[in-house]
Amino acid sequence: MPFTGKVLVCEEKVHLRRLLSLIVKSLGQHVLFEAADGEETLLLYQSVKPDLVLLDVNMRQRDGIQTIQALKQIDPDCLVVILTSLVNHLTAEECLRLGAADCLRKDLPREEIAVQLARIIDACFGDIPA
Amino acid sequence: MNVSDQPSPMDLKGRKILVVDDDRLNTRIIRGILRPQGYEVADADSGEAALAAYPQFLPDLVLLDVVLPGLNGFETCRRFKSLYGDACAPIIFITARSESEDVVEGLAAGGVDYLPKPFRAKEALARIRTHLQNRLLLEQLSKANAAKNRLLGMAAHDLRNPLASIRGLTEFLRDGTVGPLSTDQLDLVNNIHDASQSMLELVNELLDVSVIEAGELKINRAPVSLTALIEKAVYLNNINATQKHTRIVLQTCDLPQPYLVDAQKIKQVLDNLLSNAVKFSPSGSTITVRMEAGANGCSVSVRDQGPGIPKDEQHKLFKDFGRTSVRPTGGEKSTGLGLAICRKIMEAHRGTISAANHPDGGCEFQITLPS
Repeated sequence: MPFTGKVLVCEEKVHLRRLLSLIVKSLGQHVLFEAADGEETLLLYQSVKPDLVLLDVNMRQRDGIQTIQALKQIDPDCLVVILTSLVNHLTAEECLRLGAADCLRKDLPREEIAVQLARIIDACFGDIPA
Repeated sequence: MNVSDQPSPMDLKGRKILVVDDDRLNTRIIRGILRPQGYEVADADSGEAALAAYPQFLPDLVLLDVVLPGLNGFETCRRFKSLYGDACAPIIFITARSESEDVVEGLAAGGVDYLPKPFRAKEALARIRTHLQNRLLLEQLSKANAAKNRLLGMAAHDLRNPLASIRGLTEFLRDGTVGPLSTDQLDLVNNIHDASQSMLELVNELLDVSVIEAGELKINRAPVSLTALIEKAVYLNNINATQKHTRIVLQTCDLPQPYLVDAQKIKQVLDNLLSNAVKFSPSGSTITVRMEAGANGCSVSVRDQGPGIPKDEQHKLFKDFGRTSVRPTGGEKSTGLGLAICRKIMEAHRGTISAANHPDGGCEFQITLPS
């Protein structure tokens, strides 16, 4: 995989944040940043300019929808992938409407998350034949 | 339900009764009996007027005269039933004392009881009270059931993510991604992994049950090759079967292709039936999967050579948590929810699921899908 960019994982739950970070790491040599809420995501986004943001939609401090709106204001081209589980698919649809690139089910088995994430990264950063 | 759980004597004041009678005098007599009990009463002088009044008044009970101008009482009752189904308020017919034929027809039309004219106030009130109480109990029951489903759903949702994380994180530990583990450590990690895995399965099944019971089972139909679906399920389940020294044999037939089903959900049913068969099969036995197509649709049956279903436990099979006394041959766990979910999925497809013991031993599960 050619992608070696910077990834920002924003997830409120510590255990999921760790799991997702490990999965991202297992996919290659990425530089990884972690955020626990929308506020932190916005600050980190401006300082490290990640190539890809994995964004939890269901957060107490500034939810996914507000965060994605703010991110798009800072950088209209920012690449955001929404992290969802079974519950919040309506919120996820709203995020996609607001410009999220894709959504990723975080409640799947690890290998499936890895495969899907690899597919998303490939679609966004894969080599486009000249 | 425990005796102590029973609701306290119910207050029926304010319950609404719709009286349908074209005889004004009779209506007044009935009002005179009902009002002092605190019931709210509305009346209609024909079946048509009753059907029009129902949706505004939303009665808890309908007193319906049999002899009416226009639509008669029976026909009115049938219309009520077809309009409101099980949610329809109980209907009590008002009949002349001699008309015993009417009683039978009235009950067949969906009435719950009858009151002979002229009324004996105490008898009429007692019967009305009984049916109002039944109605109230039914309402409370369905509310309690909905609350239970909400609770199940919430619990399952909230447990799901942390459990998935525990499982995923132990996988990273096990892989050695974050450093090597000793044999003992690996053993512990494997234990944590397996425990979280089986809890996740339980939670997923709980979630399915509550979602399905809440009427939110969405069937996303798309054209699917059933044969391919079945072949794949057989192939995957054969992996587990081999570990238990059993095998699954598939007898295919030509199915009209493709079928309009929710592939994911039908796959869930097939997986459940096959893994059950493997679960209860003795070593060295064979599980036979047979597909058949007919004019009315197709069927898939899964037959094993296990101990069969105890006769007095067959009624449990497709109910929630309906575990039978038969034990899996390899110590596998079961939640008793799998087949209940299968039944709901098949019903949502307008299909059926059934089970029977085979005369030559073992049992056979069959699902059918309409064409």
